[in-house]
Amino acid sequence: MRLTIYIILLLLFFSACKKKEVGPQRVDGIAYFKEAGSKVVIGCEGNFGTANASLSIYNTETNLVSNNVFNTQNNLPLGDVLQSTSLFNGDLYIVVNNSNKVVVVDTSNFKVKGTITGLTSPRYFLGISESKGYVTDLFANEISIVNPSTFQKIGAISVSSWTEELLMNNGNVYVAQKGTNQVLVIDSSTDEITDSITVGREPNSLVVDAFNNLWVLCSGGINEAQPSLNKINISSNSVTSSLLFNDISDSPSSLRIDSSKQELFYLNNDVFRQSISATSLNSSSYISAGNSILYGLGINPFNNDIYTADAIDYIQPGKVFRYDGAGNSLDTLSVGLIPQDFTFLEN
Amino acid sequence: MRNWCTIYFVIFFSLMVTGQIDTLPEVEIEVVNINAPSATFKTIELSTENSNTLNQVLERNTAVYLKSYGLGNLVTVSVRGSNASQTQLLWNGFTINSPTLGQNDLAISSTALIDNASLQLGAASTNNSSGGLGGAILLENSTDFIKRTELDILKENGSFGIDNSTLKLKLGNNKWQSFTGFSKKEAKNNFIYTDFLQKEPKRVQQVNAAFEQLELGQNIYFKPTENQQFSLKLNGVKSDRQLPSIMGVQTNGEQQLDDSFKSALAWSYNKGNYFHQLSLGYFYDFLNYIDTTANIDSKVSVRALKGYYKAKYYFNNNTQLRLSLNTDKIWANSSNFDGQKYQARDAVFIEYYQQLKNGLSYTTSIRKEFITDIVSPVVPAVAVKYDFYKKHQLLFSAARNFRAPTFNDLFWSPGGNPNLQPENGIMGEIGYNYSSRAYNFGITTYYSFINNWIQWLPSDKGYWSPVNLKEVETMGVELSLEKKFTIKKVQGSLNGNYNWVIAKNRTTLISEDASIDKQLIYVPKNTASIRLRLDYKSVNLIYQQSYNGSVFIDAANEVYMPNYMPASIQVGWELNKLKAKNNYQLGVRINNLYNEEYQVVANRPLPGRYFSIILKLKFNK
Repeated sequence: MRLTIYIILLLLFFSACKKKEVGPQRVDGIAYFKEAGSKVVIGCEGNFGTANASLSIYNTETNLVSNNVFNTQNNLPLGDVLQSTSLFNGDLYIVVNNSNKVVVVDTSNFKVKGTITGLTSPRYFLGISESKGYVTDLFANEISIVNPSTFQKIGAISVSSWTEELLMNNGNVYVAQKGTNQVLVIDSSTDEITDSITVGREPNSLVVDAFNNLWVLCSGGINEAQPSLNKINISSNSVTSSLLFNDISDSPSSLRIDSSKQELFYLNNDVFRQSISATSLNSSSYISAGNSILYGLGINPFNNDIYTADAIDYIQPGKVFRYDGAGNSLDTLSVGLIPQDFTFLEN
Repeated sequence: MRNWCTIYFVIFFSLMVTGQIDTLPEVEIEVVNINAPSATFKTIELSTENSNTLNQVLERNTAVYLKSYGLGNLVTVSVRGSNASQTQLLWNGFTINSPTLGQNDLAISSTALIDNASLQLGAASTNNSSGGLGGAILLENSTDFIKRTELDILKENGSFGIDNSTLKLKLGNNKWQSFTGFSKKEAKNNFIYTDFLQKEPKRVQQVNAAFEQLELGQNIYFKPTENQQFSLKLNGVKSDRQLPSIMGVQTNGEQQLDDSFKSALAWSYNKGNYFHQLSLGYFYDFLNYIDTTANIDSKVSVRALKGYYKAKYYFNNNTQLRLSLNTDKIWANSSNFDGQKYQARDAVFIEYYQQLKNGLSYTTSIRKEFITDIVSPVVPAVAVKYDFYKKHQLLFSAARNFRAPTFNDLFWSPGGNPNLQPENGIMGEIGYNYSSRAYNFGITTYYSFINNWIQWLPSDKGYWSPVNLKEVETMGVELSLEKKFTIKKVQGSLNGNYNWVIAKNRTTLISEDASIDKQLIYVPKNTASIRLRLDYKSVNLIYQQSYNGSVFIDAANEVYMPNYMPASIQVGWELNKLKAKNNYQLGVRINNLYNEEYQVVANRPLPGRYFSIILKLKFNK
C-alpha cells in the first residue's frame, strides 16, 4: 500500500512540474549555420502531414552540411511538404506544398523575408519581375500570379489541370501541365495563354539548351503511355523530335542541363546523360543508382558536379550523393528527411 | 452501473483470488466462452464501463500505447511494440480488422453495446486467429437467462459539443433474451489550442473536426432446451467525420464516412462431454474518403461471409480437447484495385489442455491457415501454468505466428506486391502472478522476433510498393498491480500498469540503413497508467492518469515527441436510495485535468482541460 501511494504521489509530482516541450523535438538540439563559402540548398520534403520539411545547406568549400537550417535560423518550422526551391533576385523562394505557401528567405542568412499565402497546392515558383511571379499548382486548376515585393497573390491564370515545372524564355513562360500531355505558353506581360504544345503524357520537367530548343521530359504516367523526351523549337512552338522510352513502366523525371547547355541529364532509376545532338535515347546509364531509389537530381551550374538524392525509407534522414562532371563519386552527404530538390547559390 | 461487465470482472478476480479458475464446472452453456483462450495464457479483462470507444477502454484498463491523431480522429494501438495491423480485433469470435488496411480505427470501434472485452497478449492471440503478432482484442456479447425488463439510458454532454446518448433495452425470461441497443455520439471538437508552428505561438480554434456516429444493435438469444442455445447478433454503425489538417495547414474540408454491418448467427449445443458451437456471420464495411480540393472521392467496400465450427471435448474434469474450423470469404472493391478482389481464408485449430494434480497445467495447440495465393506457416503454441502455495502462479507461453499481407499490400494499383510473404514471428513470455484477497501483482517479461516485416517503399517507377523489408526484435516487461482496500467507510481499489518496450530494427534490405538497432517509430519505451477508485456511500470517484514516454518519429532516432501524462477525474453520485430498484446516477468528468499541452502525433493538436456531465438511468421492472 505504501508503495502504491508512493506511485500516486510520484505521478502527481510529475504532473505538477510543467516541463513543457510540445510537438516534435530534435535530439541534437540546435544545429548551426555559419561558414562562408558557396552553398548548395538541399530542399527536404519531410513527411506528408507532419510539418517537418527542412533545408539542408552544403558548403562546397568546407564540405560541411548544416541540416535543419531554416528552423534554426528562424526558430520556426518550415511547414508541411517542401516541393521546390528557386532563386529570384538573390532571394530563395521555398514552395511548401501542403502548407499552401511560398516562404521567401534571404540567401545570406536564410531568415524569412515574407510569406506568400492563400495558395491551394503550390508546386513551383518562377520570378518574372519585381512585381510579378508565377506559382504552379496541383489542384487549383490555375497558375497563381503573385507579387514578390508585397508577398501577395494578385491574380490567377486558369488552366485545365495540374501544372508542374516552368521556365521563362524571351518573355514567354513555358509550363509543364503534368495532368495532361501539354506544355502551356504564357505571355508574361499579358498573363495570357498564347499557345499549347502537345508533347507526351505527363510532362514533368523542362530545360532550354544552347540553341534555344526547349526540352520536355514526359513520364508517360503510370503505365498509361510511353515516356518521352521531346525537343521543341521555341520560335515556332513545334515539336521537332520526340524520343520514346522502350519500357512503358519507366518513369523518367528531373530533366536537367549542364552549364554548357549541351548535355541533358535525367533520372530513370539510374542517372542518364544525353547530348542535345543525339538522335536516340542513351541506353546505358551514366551513373548507376546502385541500391538507391533516386528521388532528386541537380547539376551544379558553376562546376557541373552532379547531385542525386536518396530518401531511403522516407522515415530516416536522407542521403545526397555527389559526383564530378565525369561521373566519379566524390562523397555522400547526410541531409534532412526526404531530400529531393537542389538550388545552387553563387559564392 | 453494476452492469454485466462489472459483474464479470468481479467474478473473474474473485476466481483469481481463490485460485479456482481452472477446475471444471458442470458444463453449462452460459459459462462456456468458446472464444476465450485457456487459462494458461495471460489475458487482461477490459471493463467497458464509462467508455464509448475501444481507445477509451484500452486507455482506462491498460498501459498500451495509443496513437491518436486528435479527438474523434484516427486512433491506432501498439501492443508490445507492434504496429496497428499486428493487433487483431475480434467480434463474437470473428476477426474484424479491415482486410484492406489490416488495422482498425479504435475511435470508431464502438463498445457502447459490447458486454465484455478482453486483451490477449502474444501467444494467447493464436487461439482465435493468426496475425496478432502483438496481441488480440476480443469483443463479445453474451447473456444469462434470467427474467428481466431493464432499460438503461446514458446521456453525456460536454465541452466542444460532446453529446453522447446510449439506450439499452433488455428483455427476457428463462428461454428468450432480447437486447436492443442504440447509441449516438457526436462532437464538434472545435477546441482552442496553441499553434506552435507560428513565429509567435498563437491560440487558434480547431476546424473541420466534427464527428457523428450512430449505432444500432439487436441481439436475440433463445434457449429451447437446457443444453442448447441459439443467438442472433446484429450490429450496424454509421459514422461521419471531418478530418482536420495538421497545425498551420488550411483545411481542404476532408471528410470520411464509415459504415459497418456485423452479424452472427450461432448455435451452441452440449451433450455429455461434448460442447459444439456453429456460427455464421456476414460483414459489410464501407469507407468513403472525400477531399474535394484534391478531387479525391475514394470508396472502399468489403463484404465477408464467415463461419466457424468450434468444439470442446472433455475427457474428464482436468483434460480437454478443443477443435475449431474457420472459413472466411472476403470480397473487396476499391477504386485503387483493378476490379473486385477475393480472398478465402480457412483455418484448422486443435488444442489440448490438461491440468495436473500438482498445480501444473499446460496447453499445446496447433493452427494451420489456408489463404488464397499465400503460403503461410503452421502456428504452434504452448503454454504452461504452475500454481503454488495458493497465491502464486508462474506462466510460460511461446508461439510462432504470422500476419498475412493485406488486400492493399497485395492488390493496390499500382504498387501492390503479389509476391509478398507473410510477416513471420516467434514469441515467448514468462510471467509471475501473486494474488490474494486484496492484492494482485503480476510481472511478465516477453521476447519476440519478427522477420519479413512489411513496409511500403518508393520504387523507381514513381509509385510506392510494399516489401518484406526488415527484421524486428522486441523485448519488454509488463507490471501490473491491483489493490483493494477499505479505509473506514471508504472502499477503494487501485490499479497500476507499467510497460517497458524495446523494439528495434535489426536488419533490412536497405544499404547503410540508419534505422538499424534503433527503436521503431511511435513505440515508447515506457508507458504507465494508474487508476484509483473510491466509493463512499452513494458517491464514487475515479482518478486516472497515464504516462506515455517520449517516442521517436524518425527511424534514425533523431527527432522525438516529448512525453505526456494526461489525467482525468470522474465523480459520480447515486441519486436514488441504496438498493432501490431503479438506479439514477449523475457524474462529472474532467478530462486532461492538469490542462496539459501535448501532442501524440506530430503537429496534431489535442484539447486542454475539458468537461462532461454524465447521467445514467437504469429502470428495472
